[in-house]
Parts: sequence; structure tokens; C-alpha cells
Amino acid sequence: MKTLAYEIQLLLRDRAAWVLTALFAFVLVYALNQGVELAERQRESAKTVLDASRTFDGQVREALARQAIDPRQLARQPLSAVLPPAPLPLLAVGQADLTPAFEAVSLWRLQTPTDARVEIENPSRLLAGRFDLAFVLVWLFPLFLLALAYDLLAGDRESGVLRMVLSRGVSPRKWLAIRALARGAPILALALAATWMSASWGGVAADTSNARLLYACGVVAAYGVFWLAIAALVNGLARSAAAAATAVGAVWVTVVLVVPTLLNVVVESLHPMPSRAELVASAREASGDAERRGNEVLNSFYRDHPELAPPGMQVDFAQRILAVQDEIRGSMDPVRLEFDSQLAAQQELVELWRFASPAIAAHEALTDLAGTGYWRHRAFRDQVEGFKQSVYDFYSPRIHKNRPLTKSDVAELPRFEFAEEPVERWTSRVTLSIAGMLALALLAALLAGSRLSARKLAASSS
Amino acid sequence: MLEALQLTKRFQERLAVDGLQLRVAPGEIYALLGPNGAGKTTTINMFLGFLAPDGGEAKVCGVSVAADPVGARRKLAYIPEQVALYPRFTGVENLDYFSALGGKSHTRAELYELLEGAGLPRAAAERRVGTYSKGMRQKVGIALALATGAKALLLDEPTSGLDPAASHEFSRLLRRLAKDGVAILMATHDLFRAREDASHVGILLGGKLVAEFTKDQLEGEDLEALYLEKLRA
Amino acid sequence: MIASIARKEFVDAWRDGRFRLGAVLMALLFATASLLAWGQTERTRAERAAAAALERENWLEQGEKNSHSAGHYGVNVFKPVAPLSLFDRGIEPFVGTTLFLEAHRQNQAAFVPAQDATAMRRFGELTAAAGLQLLAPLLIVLLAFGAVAGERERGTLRQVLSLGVTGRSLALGKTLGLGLALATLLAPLGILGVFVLANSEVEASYGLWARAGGLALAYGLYLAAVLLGSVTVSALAPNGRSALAILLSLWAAACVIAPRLANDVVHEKLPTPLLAEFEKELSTDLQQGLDGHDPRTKQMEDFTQATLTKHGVARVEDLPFNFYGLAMLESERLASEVFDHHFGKLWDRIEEQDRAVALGGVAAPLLALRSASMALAGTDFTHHRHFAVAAEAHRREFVRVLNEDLMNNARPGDHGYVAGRALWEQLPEFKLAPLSAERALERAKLGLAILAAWVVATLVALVAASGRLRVDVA
Repeated sequence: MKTLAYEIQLLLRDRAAWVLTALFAFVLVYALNQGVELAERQRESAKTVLDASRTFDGQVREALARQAIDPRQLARQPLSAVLPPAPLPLLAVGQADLTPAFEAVSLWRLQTPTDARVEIENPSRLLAGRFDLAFVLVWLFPLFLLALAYDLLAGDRESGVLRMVLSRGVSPRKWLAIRALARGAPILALALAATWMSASWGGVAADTSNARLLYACGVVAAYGVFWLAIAALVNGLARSAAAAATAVGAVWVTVVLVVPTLLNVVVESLHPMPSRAELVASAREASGDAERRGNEVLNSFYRDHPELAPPGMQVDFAQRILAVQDEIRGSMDPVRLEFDSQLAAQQELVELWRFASPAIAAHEALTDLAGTGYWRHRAFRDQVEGFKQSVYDFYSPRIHKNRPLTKSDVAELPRFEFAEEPVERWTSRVTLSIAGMLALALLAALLAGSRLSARKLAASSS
Repeated sequence: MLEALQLTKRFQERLAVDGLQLRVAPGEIYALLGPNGAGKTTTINMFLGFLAPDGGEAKVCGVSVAADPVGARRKLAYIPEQVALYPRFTGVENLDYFSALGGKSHTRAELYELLEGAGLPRAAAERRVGTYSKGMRQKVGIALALATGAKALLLDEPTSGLDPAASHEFSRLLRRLAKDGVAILMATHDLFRAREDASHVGILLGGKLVAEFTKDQLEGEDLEALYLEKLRA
Repeated sequence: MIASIARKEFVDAWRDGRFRLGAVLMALLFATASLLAWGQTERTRAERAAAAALERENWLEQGEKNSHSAGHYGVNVFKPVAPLSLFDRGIEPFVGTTLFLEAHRQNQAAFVPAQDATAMRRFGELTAAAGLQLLAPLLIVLLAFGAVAGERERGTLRQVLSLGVTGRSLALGKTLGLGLALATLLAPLGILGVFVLANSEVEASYGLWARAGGLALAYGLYLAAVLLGSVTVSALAPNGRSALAILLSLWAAACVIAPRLANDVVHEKLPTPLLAEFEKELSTDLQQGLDGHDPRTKQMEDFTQATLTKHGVARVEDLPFNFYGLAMLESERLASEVFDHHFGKLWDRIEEQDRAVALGGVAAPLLALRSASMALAGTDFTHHRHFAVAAEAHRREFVRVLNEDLMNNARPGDHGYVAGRALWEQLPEFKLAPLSAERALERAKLGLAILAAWVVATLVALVAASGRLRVDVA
């Protein structure tokens, strides 16, 4: 206990430690503030779209209560599919500034590849990435930790103090562990506090339970412990403070900079995305083709769906489009599915390899918890596809059969409600990430421990 | 020839070297004795031009160090307590490099000859110096002094930590250099070597030269007793 | 003197196991990154070419229809891949690749590749440019932090200076030697790059070699400044350990923090409009006219009246041509003014932001380098804008031809008029003439100037710092 007290006292007398801790606190606050603007904007635009679509929905219901409506007419109005704001937007921007949180679904354009409409943003800014909390936690947090903890032993070994200490019969493992924790404690505490506060910072009331926050703190703690274990390992090996600094620097560069970017390139080379350009062109080819063969398409459609054939086979414009669309869907679905399957394959590879670098594991887990990563958006896209289907299913029989919409159809009117992923889905993913990081930390700590017998240290420090 | 003329150096309030008057003629070996902090290394640093004196002047072969530090350094050689060498270079490469920096170029054969002259056999000279003992490093230092043909040599505790045989070998080389007309100033704690090798012995205390003896004056005297007596005074 | 110091430093660096390891790792990373980037570039190029061919066929095979309907059918054009994007992909993953050209509307490029990517994209991409921008400086730091501070600690500094070497020639010689060591490491990669470029098909007007030369200059200046700065810090720092700590902190600040921080700050000072605002203003001006006084309907009424007066007839049906074709031409002209105004303003703002970030290079040279590098590689916003502007010009020409056909060939009042393949074939395929190397250099000038200033400043600092070298460890 006395060792710990002295260790803390040493730290308190170290001016550099104070400066670093203050700087880290400043950086955390800056990052939280930076997130507020984007989160508010996204919340606002989601609300605008949602309000508009609710108003429209209400008007339709009201109108239907009074009179019957031609489904062709109603189908002209696109329906909005909105992804509600992320549960913890301040934690990580993730893909939120890139991927659309809104899609207009129109019966007449169900098969046209639509462009996702996102906020106007300077592409250079997207390239640089944002100064969000996840950036500070994944990139800078280890740098600050290492700056305080890179020299747990190496400097003392160099100066010969270590031999003196060991000659007093101190257990080097315990001594190193106490030192690592004492040195890392202030930075770790700040990181955890910022993570916890990300739920309510700047008036951005997060729409979430404490479970997400607890898990986020777990991720941050595990990531921090991993880096402290790395510091310990390096100190078990390095003979001088400069060598220790070089070594922890090299590990940081490898884990945070090289492995993730390399994995990025590898993932995209192994599972290349199909070409959007080709998708667009072939969709037009398919629709041109279907339109040219209009009557033939129509006839085969009604052959396959005799129940939908309009009375007397008097076909109008709308029915023709629907039949043609059905034809296009048949040829386009495989192409579109390939996008999803390739992206899923990429994500699978990332999930698999995230333990090659705890930075990836931490970043994936933080974006997952924030609700700005792959999974929530994937759920949104899947649900939008389902919604498109239900729009088609709703209108198709009614238009083909020339049946006007009445009061009785109100209950079946398609409406998009995003359903969040079940809790156990994300908890299992994040738990695995935390466990993986802790396992790596344990491995590093064990390796460090094996290097830390007094005999080895004394032998190597002369 | 090395000359200190009323050489003075002050660190804040403390006088490190106080009006030092000293002259080492060609062929002389001057041993500068004194306790830690007496000003020996400060004196050497002023001869090297690493410290600017606050008063007086240091001269190397007539060249004022303050006026022309680089010109003065060109005329001297310096061997510190621990001869610092580049660990990834061999002995001969180190010598080649350092003598090139001193403005002298030698063929490989000459370099090996110089090292052998300093007592370092060729096989050792071809090894990287990371593996050298302290004595071997000192030999490279001597070879460097030989290579640059310096007329003045500054030594800062050159024999501390050397074993007796290496120390003996080292002083043999020193005497040879002196015989060739080099002026040698050696700061040391090694009373035995001072007595054996030096033509002059000076005792420095609190930056002042409190006693000076020639080799003849020390004949039959106990240098250690003299030294301790001066210290107590 | 400087030459022998440089030679020694060069040999010493290559005998340093850490440097050799770093060099091997760097070379491996470069090779992997370049190979993968090359594969990706080739694939994208082929895909876009295939899509363009298919789209041309769609256009030609669209069947007979009213020429204005063909304007609504429209055509997709695809952004060509910049040849040097395999070196620096710049903003390419973050801008649209497909532009839909249709009557009445100027669209924005759609389908941003990064949208079809995992969140891993946030870690950035391993390109040769990223290696030189981020990792090479680290290697330099590793190589140079002990240049002077290490000699001081080892005691060799005393000895070297005791031989009559000035601190200045020592520092310059060391810098030169380390620079040569680095150059021998990078030279093979450069030669490989030249070989690859020499064997790739590039349009002459792209100015491949001028651009490649500019890139070599930009990266040369950047790495030289980093090296000079590192040796300066090494000369000033009390010991190797502090030199390393200072240099690593500077690296983290300039390479990790600065890019994000600069973009955030610039965005705050020079904001881009919100999408909703932008679209609202655009549609208002399309209806109300740019000055806001003359609604579009009023302008068109005036135009109709003026046309009737000019031809001395009372009804549009009596005009010697199809008036709707002419009206469409006029309406496109009016809309073009509005589009030019709004898109021009938006794009000017984005370029202004980019310039401001590049100016941040005064504090963090990486920002200046990135700006110059993307401009020269042809992957910055200016090049993207060039594509968008050329595509828009193509759209206007395409719509003009179709509307003129309607005006001249459809009898007045004939709603059944159709044109066919002969007309579709008259419309040329979209070919983007690359932005000239001069324009690219023009864009890169600011970054290059800042980098050159850095080299001068670090050189002056080094000369000043080495003039008064501290000999002993404090």
C-alpha cells in the first residue's frame, strides 16, 4: 500500500503528468462538444421528416374515412422511411455522416436504384474524419496512457535505481502492476467519465438505457487495460527509456494505424463491392428491355398472377408499370443482393479480424453501441427493403383489380416504423469484443510477468 | 604548448577556476591533481573551448581558444575518461572517421599501423567497438592523437577504471608521445601514475593552483602525503 | 568535412537494425498498398468503362420517342478514374461516381463509394501517399532523434567537437547523411512508381509527368522539412529521451490531430449550407428567378409574347416552328443561370474550405502536403468539380440538341412526334478531358509554397540551433 502511496505522490510531483491529464480532459470536452452539432442536426432532420410523414399519414386516414380514393393517386406520394436518431450519437459519429437516415419510397420507383441523400459535406472533411469521442478514445487515449506509463521500469533500469529497488526484496511484478495502475488511473478515469457523460452532454438527451453506457465503459476500460499491459510488456523488455518509448510508439502505430488501414484494403480487395455504375446501367437496361416487351411482359405477368388480372383485361398505365416493375425486380434482385452480401462479407471479415488490433475491436464496439455503425444501418436497410415489399404488396392487387381504397384499408396502409435490434444481439457482439481485448491484455501481462523475475531484471540492467 | 593565463570561470556565485596560471611546454606531461569539483574538468573544457572563460585566456600552441576555437582545436587531441566511439563502427572505421573530422586522411594501412602503434592488434581493430573494453577504447583514443599529429594532448582521468596492465601500457604510449614533443595536460586522481609519468604535477583546489612540483622536486617525496597536506591547508 | 560526416551517418543508419527493420516494413507496406490499389483502380476503371458502354447502348436502344421525353429518359455519366489515384485516392471514396443527366435538372454526383463500406473506413486507407505522409515521418524521427542528442549522451559530441568540427557542419552533415539513407530507401519505390506509370495508359493532356514531378517535389520538401526539424529538436533537446518524446508529440499533433481539428475549425468558420436550405433556395430561385422579382411563369409569358411579336403572329400555333421546343430551350437557359449561381456558390465554398485547411499547413505541414498531393494526383475537389462542370456542360448541350430537334422537326401542335436512333446517335458520348497539369499545379501551389517555407524555416532553425550546441548532458 505504501508503494502505491509513493507512486501517486511521484505522479503528483510530475509536472508533465499534470499537463498531460489536463490536456486529455480538454480534448475529451472538445470532442463531446463537436458531436453536439451533428447530433442535433440529425435529430432535427429526422424529426422534420417524421413529422411530415405522420401528418401525411393522418391526412390520408382522415380522407379515407370520408371517401374512397384511387390507389394510383395515393401511390403518387412517396412514403418516408426514417431511421430514428442513434441511441448514443455523441459516442461515435461512425458512418452517420455518410449513410442516409432517410429514404423516400415510391411505388413507381421501387426498382430504380436511388441515391442516398445525405447532408452536404465537404468530402475532405469526410476523408479526415471527425473529432468525435470515439476518435479521442481509440486514437488519443492510448497515446496519453502510454505517455504516462511508457517508462514504468526502463528509466530506472537505465539509471540503476532498479537494482537498488530489487535489492530490497520487492516483487517486481507487483511493483510494476501498481505502477501501471497508478500511472494510468487519472487518464482512465477521465476516459470513463467522458464516456458516461456522452449520454447527456450538451443537452443531447440520448434515447437509451444505461446498459449501453455500461457496455461502452466496459469497452473503454478493457481497451485501456490492454494498453497498460502493453506498457508493462515493453518495460519488461526494453533496456532504456528511449527504447521503451520507441517500442510503445511502434506498437501504437501498428495497432492503430497500420493494421486497421491494411485490413481495410485487404477487406475491400477480398470482397470487392460490385460496381454501382454497372448497377445503374443494368437497371436501366432491364427497365428498357421490360418496357419494350411491354405487352409480352404484361401478358406473362397476368398468366402468372391470374388472380390479379383486371376485369376484361383493360390495362392502364399504372398496371403496366407494376407489371414491368415486377419483371425488372426479377432481373435486378440478384445484383442488388450482391451489394448486401458483399458488404456483409466485408463486415464478417472485419468482425473476425477485429482482434488483430484492439483498436478495431474498440472502434467497432463503440460505433455499435452508439448506433452509428454497420449493424444498425444494416437493420435499417433490411427494414426499408421489407417496407418496399409491403408497399408493393399493398398497392399491387388493389391497382390491378381497380379497387379503390376505402375505410377498411386504413388498418393495412403501409407505414414505416424502425424496430431497434434486440438487446441480446448487440450485447453478445460487444461482450465478445471486450472479452477479446481483455484476453489480449492478459496475454501481454503474462508475457510481461515472465520477463519480470528479479534475476532477469538485475542481470539485464547492469 | 598549452597555456592558461589568469584563466577564470564562474558558475553563478561559485568560482570554479580562479586565475589559473599554467604552462605545459612541448615534451612535458603535466598532471593536474585535485579533489572532485576542484576545477580540473572545467579547465580542460576551457582549453577545448566548450566553456567560455569569464576572465583570462587559454592558448593552444599560441592560438587563443576564445578568439579561434576551431583553430585551437585543430592543434590538440582530447581523450576523455571514457573514449566515446560509434558502436556500429569498427575500431579502424572510428579512427578513420575521427581523423577525417580532424582534417587528416590516412590510408587503411596507415590506420592499422597507428592502431597497432597504440597497442590495438589488427584483428581487434576490425571488430565493431560495441564489444570493446575500456582499455581498448583508450587505445583508439591514443591512435587518434597519433593520427591527427596533434601538438597538444588533453586527458581527462584517462586511467580511471583501467586494470594495472592496461594502465601501464597507456602510460608507455603517453611517454612516447611526450618524447615526440607533444605537450600533455592530464587531469587525474591517479597519484601513482602522476608520479610515474608526469614531468610536472599541479594540485588544484577550489579553482586555484595551490602547489606545483617538477619530477625532480618529487624525488624521494611521498606525493600522497603532500597532496593530503595541501588539501587540509 | 560535411561529406565525411554525411558518409559516416549514412553507413551508421544502414547498420542500425531498427532502421533496417523499419525500412523493410515500410517497403513491404508500400508494395502491398500499391499492388492492392493498382488492382482496385484497374477494376474500377474497367467497371466504369463497361457501365458507360452499356449506358450508351441503353441510350441508343431506347426506341422511338418524343425528343423531349428522351431528355427525361436522360443518360448516366461516370466519373473517370484519375491515373494517379493509385498513389493518392484523396476524396475519391467520398464523392459520387455517377451523374444522371436529364432535362430541367442539374443533379449532384451520386453513389459515394464510402457508403458501400464498413465503418472501418474511418481508419483511413493504406495508400502509398498515406505511408509517406504518416509513416515516413515516424521513420525519420526514429532515425534522427538521437542525431545530436544521442552523441551528446554517448560523449562522442565532445570528441567530435574537440577535433575542430563546428556544430553547424556536424548538424548539416548528419542531416545530409540521414537524408541520403532515406533517399536510398525511397528510391526503389520511386523507380517502381515511374515504371508503373510509364506502362499505364494515360491521356497526354493529363500531364502525367508534370504531375508526378510535382508530387516528387511536394513529398521531397515535406520529408526534408521533417528531417531538418527532427535534427533541430535533437540538437536542442537535453537528451535523446526528451528529443524522442518531443518529436513523437509533434508527430501526433501534426499527423493525427491536425487534419480533423483543421477541418472542424474551418467548417465552423466557413460553413457549408444544410441540404434542406440549399434545396429550398434552389427551388425558390428556379420558380422566382434569381432576382426574386420575376417569377418563372411571368418570364415565360413575356418570352412568348416577345416571340409572337417578333414573328408577327398572334398564336403560337402560327409560328413557323414548334414553339414548345423553343420554350423549353428558353426555360433551360433560365434554369442554367440559377444552377450556375447556386452550385457555383456551394462549390466555391468547398474550395474555399479546402484552401483554408491547406493554409493550416503553416502550423502542421501535413495539411499543406495533403492539399498539394491530392491536387497533383487529380483526386481533390477541384478535379471533382471539373468533372461535375463538364458533365453539366454535356447535359446542356444534350438537352439543347433534343429541344432544337423538337422545335424544328415537330410540326406545331403535333403531340405524336417521335424521333429515333438517328437523333440519338447525333448526341456524342461523354468524354471528360482531364484537367490540365497547369491547373493542377496552380491548385497545388499554395501547399508547395508552404512546404518550401517549412524547409527554409527548419533549415534556419537547424543552423541557429547547431551554432550553439550544448556539449554536455544537462
